[in-house]
Amino acid sequence: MQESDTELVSKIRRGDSSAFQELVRRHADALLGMAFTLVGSRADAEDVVQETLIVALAKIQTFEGRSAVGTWLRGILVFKAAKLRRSRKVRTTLSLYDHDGSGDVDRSDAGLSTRSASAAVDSKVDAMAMLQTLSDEHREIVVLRELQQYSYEEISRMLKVPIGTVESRLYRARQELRKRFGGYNQ
Amino acid sequence: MAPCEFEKILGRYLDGELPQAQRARVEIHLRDCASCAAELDQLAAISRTLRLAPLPRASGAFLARLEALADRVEDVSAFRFVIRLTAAAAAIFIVATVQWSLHRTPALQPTVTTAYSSTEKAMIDPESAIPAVASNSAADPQLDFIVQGLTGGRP
Repeated sequence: MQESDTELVSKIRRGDSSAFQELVRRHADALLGMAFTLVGSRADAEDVVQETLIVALAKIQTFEGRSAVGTWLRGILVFKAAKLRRSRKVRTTLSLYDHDGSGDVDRSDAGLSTRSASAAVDSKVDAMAMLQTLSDEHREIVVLRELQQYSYEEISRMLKVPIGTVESRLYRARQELRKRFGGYNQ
Repeated sequence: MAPCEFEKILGRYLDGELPQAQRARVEIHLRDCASCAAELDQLAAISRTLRLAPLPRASGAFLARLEALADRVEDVSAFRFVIRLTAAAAAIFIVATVQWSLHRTPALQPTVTTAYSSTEKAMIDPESAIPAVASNSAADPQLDFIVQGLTGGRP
């Protein structure tokens, strides 16, 4: 029977490095995907994931288990991504998501998650291009809600802001998207 | 045209974040408000598109890079051991210091009361000083010889 994430964390605390490797294998794809939507390039996303795991290891003794391990890791990742964006001023480069195949994203079926491989090609407006038009703050909230599908309460805890702020931020982000892309998605 | 009062809560409705009663009110409203119904359709379409974002997968090389961080697991564990050891040593030191202080304090009192110089002792008890002087002179043969010479051998 597969061990739970919490059991793996307990083992890591006792110095079991193979438990850490198992945790990495379980969460690497999801963390990389989330980091990619937040920072916009694969190379930066990989750095963010690595930094996230380093911080997680340093803080693993203080993990209280109030949230799922995956949620805890994503919470760290959000802050690491924000820090990287601030330091590098990673902003929209639509060239990353251009349609001539020269972008960072591997659009072959092997490189994409199964849920999006064929549908993304048919999409009138590339989802990543939509995200890149948003401010950092709005992109963050849209990623957490739309792509990660966290509840408002979970987002509130992750970003350490009141639920009212989550609601208003999400409302403004959606208005921005609706004005720009509403007509293309009917 | 003024925006509909329901417009601001359509996103929460879409996300399933409205209480049941409010949700029911929105559903009734949507039957009659074409503007809100159209906006909800747009929000839902944007939501669907975003969820189709092409996400990268971790390559073998990247996974290996992450798994190499496992070396730090033992560091974390060793660091924790050192912290515990240091804490234990500090606790022992504190207990020992307190014990030593408690035992040492009463022994200080006699040394304070006996700290008189010989002059002070003589002032307090003059007789105690005389025998000491006499015995000192008696104990000195050279001084005895001089005294006898001056006195002609008389005591």
